[in-house]
Amino acid sequence: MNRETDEIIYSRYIENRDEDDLRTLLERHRDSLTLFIYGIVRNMEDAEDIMIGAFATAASADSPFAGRSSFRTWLFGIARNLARKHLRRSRHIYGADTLDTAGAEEAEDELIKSESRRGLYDAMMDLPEDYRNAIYLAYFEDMSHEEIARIMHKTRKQVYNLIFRGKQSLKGLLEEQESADEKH
Amino acid sequence: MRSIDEQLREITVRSEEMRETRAVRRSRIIQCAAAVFCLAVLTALPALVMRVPVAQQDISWSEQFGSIVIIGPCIPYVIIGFVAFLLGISFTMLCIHVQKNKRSK
Repeated sequence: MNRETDEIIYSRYIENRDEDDLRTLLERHRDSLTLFIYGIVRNMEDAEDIMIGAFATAASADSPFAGRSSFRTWLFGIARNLARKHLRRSRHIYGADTLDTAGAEEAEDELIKSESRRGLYDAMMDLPEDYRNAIYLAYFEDMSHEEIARIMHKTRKQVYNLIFRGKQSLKGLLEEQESADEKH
Repeated sequence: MRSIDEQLREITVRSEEMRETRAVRRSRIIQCAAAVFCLAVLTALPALVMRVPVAQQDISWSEQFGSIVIIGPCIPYVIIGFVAFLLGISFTMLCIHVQKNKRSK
């Protein structure tokens, strides 16, 4: 059976406002989007809230999707902007990052089924935000450099450099982790 | 994490709120633009009228425009007309505001 593309489902939703179409899109993207946002805001409740905000922004559009990028790229771009706005606002109000580790572990268990991916995701949390986002989008979401560049508002060359340097840093972190595990 | 049904409900509610906010903002912009346009027409119309050349008179069009708007026995009519226009706009906007409040209640 041919799977309908996101763009077709989204255009149909905008025309007919059928909730089933929105549900299909939500089922396809909510987990990956929530994880991506968590990588930015580091709080699972806020990540879920921002994910809902991103979908609401997409659902509130008046005209069918006719963008230059794919629906998924567009959605991740909206989510990133909302997440960064949220970070700026919460730093201004609270003066610090609101890290939440307790709820995050449970949610990560739910969202990342594979153990090896889970280990990689945990190691990525120690990377700087740009490296983390670029690697997540490239390896967890299988996005092209062009799509990542659109989401992160960078050039393809910059994305390439971010991924390269991110992998170097990640390799160092994983090696440190391994040697620390061996000592114990 | 919330269930998919709860998330879907939240998304629908928020997207409706966003659409309503956008519609209100759009109508406010249109109202302001219409008011500015009417004011501009009211101000420019005498100037446009006075561009019709009055033969054998050595008076520039801006002076003629000034004589219509500022100098001479016409000024009370101009002021009354302007005030009536502003009153009309204010009254219309007040009625719209009252109607919106009734609808929201």
